[in-house]
Amino acid sequence: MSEQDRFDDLLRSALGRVEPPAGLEGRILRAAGLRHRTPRGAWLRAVAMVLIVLAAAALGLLWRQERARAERAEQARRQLEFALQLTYDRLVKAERQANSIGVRKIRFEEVPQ
Amino acid sequence: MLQFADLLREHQSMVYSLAYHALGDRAAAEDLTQEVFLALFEHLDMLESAEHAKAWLMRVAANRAIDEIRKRRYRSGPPLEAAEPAEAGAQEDWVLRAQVRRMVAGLPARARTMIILRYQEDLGPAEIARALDLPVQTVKSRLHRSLNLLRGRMARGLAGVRAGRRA
Repeated sequence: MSEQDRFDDLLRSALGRVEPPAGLEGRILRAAGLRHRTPRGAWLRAVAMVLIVLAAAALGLLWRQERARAERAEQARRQLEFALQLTYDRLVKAERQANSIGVRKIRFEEVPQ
Repeated sequence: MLQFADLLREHQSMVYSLAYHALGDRAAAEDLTQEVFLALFEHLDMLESAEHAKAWLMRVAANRAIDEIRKRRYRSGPPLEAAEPAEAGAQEDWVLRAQVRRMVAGLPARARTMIILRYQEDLGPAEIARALDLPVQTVKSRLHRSLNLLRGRMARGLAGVRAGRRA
């Protein structure tokens, strides 16, 4: 047997497997059982999922409200534009009629409310 | 589906021995073994086969042992076995083995773990490299250096023992 082989054998016998203490297996199984009953990771994941769903729902609601408000504003803007256009047309027509009958200056009077 | 209890029964000796040789402390080895198996319990559904589970256990145990050595800065060797053998030849072997373990315990964390994986589990450099996530060449050179160091220390230790016997 060479020097190298003897040295390898010595290391193998010194670093061979050691039997674990008798109670270790039971201790680990109990600890795993406790962890199984209260799976902290699973709880945290569930809470995180609920929070994500709630946040997504809140964001969705805010987005819908904002879109409805923007639609109402656009509708109001169009109505106002239409009303102004109508008023302008009437005024132009009235001015033409006044000019045709020779009125140079129109005196405005405040209409009592 | 892998059964946790079966994996525990089959591999507890490997994990415990690795931890014991690395840390030189039975209580610390028990704690590390428990930690490693509880981590296995949490990752069980990610492991595809018994071989995969064994490789996973070895990798996690080796890396946790390295972390623990660095954290605790273990330098002293494992305590000698409680019962000293009565026969003269057996006694000499026992002293020699204890001396080897003490010398291995004097190596830096990673080199120590490599030597343990090499001689406890009979792993080759490629398997050790996979377990420790290192290049094979690095493992080969570190094993070579550590073994030379151990051989030198052993030779000096044996010379001391023989000189003591002659005196």
